[in-house]
Amino acid sequence: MIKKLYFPAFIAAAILQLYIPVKMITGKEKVLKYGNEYKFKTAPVDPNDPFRGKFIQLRFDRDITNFRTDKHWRNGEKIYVLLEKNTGGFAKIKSVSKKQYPDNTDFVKAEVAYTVFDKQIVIKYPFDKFFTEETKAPEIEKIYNSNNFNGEKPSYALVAVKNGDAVLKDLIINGISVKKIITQKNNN
Amino acid sequence: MSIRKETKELLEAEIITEETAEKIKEYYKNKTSSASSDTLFSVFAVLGALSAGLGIILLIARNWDDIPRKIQTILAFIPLLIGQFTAGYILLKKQNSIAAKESSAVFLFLSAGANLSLISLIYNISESTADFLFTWLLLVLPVIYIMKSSASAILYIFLITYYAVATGYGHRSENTFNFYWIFIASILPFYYRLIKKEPESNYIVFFNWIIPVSLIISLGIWADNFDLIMFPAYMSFFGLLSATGNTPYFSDKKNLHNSYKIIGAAGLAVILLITSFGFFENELRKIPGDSANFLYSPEFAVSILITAAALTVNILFSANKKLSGINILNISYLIFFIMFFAGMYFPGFRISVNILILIIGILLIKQGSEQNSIGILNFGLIIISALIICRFFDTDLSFIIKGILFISAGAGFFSANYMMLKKRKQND
Repeated sequence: MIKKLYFPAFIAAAILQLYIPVKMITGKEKVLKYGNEYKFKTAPVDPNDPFRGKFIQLRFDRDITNFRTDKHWRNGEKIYVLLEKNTGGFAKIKSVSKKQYPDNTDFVKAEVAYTVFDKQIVIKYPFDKFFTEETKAPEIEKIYNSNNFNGEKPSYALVAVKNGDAVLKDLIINGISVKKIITQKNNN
Repeated sequence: MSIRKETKELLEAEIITEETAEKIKEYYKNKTSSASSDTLFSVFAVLGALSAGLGIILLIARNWDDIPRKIQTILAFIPLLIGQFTAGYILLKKQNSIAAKESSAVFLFLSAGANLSLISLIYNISESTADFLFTWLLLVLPVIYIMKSSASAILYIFLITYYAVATGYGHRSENTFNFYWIFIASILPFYYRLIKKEPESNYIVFFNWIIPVSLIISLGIWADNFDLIMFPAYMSFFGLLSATGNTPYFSDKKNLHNSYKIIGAAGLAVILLITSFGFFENELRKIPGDSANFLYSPEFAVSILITAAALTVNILFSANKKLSGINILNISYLIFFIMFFAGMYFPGFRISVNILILIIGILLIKQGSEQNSIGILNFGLIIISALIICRFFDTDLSFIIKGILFISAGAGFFSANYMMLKKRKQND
């Protein structure tokens, strides 16, 4: 009797194994399709630890990571960040909350990286890794760092935002898309 | 000595007939060849599945950026679908092949992880390693049970231990319940079933070692503000392990199989030695003065729970209640537990621990020589020498005393082993 249940149980497990990643994908696709785009100004990465595997570790500008609140926060606590755009079109924190904002507003779910002086918090966004191929990562990182130190135009991450979820679409260095840099390099 | 030699000897001594000797040889030949070839095949099959799974990930990762996102997404599912299809087929058609079941389960296990990792790559999802592991572990748990795959269960224990370390230690550990405990509890029925249903399985030895090691690594994630109280918790945990090692099921097993006895005894001795230093007592005396009450700390709750568990196993299964070195060591966690909490309020903890170690060491040496066991004898000698070495670091002993202690320990080692060997020779 129990033996007969093994296969249906296996099918159920297999469906779950497919359902979870498919759900992840559809969620992200929705954000990409319908989400509003925000430019997150980046800061140079720490040259001592730029890499973990084959992705570029992004560091965002202090304007978008540091915030003074009137509440107490724990390290690692979930935080909802309501965004707005400044005059240059870059993302800016409007307010933060422990509760979700209404669905038609642009907010992202993030994490409190750590607190400075109790109520001054530093936010860690869930899109601070730009994945790329092992062979291309060092090149992009070189461009990324040199430009962040002395670029004419600012570098930023292009992020689509919808209902608290966010997807990192592209990394723009000195006005040029990293995705384009990669394909250009490949064609040469 | 091999069976062949043994039968030859018995034949020459005319204990067995030619016919019986042939039968014996034939029996062992069949037994070993079929068993070992199946084991060997399953080992290679599992290794094959492992490397094939990893190979696919590497192949896809190469030239990844040039592929459009839709195709990337489809590619991410191919290994998973292959894994699911193979495992499903084997479950239906090849129920009896252990090698096929183990290898397909391991492949499915890894391909599910590859699928999740590729999706985070495609969508730049920068979740932490722990969050990634969490989803992966939940999705593959049913596979372990349905396919009855010990190899994937072992892989699972490795990963949940990694998860415990990644989430439990460091700044993220604040006041949140760690899912490691649910993960480890979820794999114990598998271990139990293996012991009951397949007592001959080679995998049991692996489980016997990695489960206690995983628990030892992860127990420390309970440490919070009163981390010193993790010492009685660990002490009682080692007591629990060694009590488990002395239950009827484990007690007559070989040492290789009885990891509980070995890890338990070694752990008890090590914790006792660590706490025998002066600084430990100094820290201990500070606990009552702390502004927070330790009685409400998770460490205290955990140490009470584990001590109760160890005591229960001890009471249920203690076969002989003779006063011997091993028996004293096995209940030393209880003595330590009382000494620890008394030591917070009264002086003398350091002295008592040192005396306890000394008594255990001497009793072990006595027991070893009485039972003619070099293992127990040397364990006792190691404990005493370790105690002397530890005291060497304490500055308040004069060099002359330290020197004399070392010489007597060395002489003790030599003479005890010498006498034991001599005694054995006489007996032979």
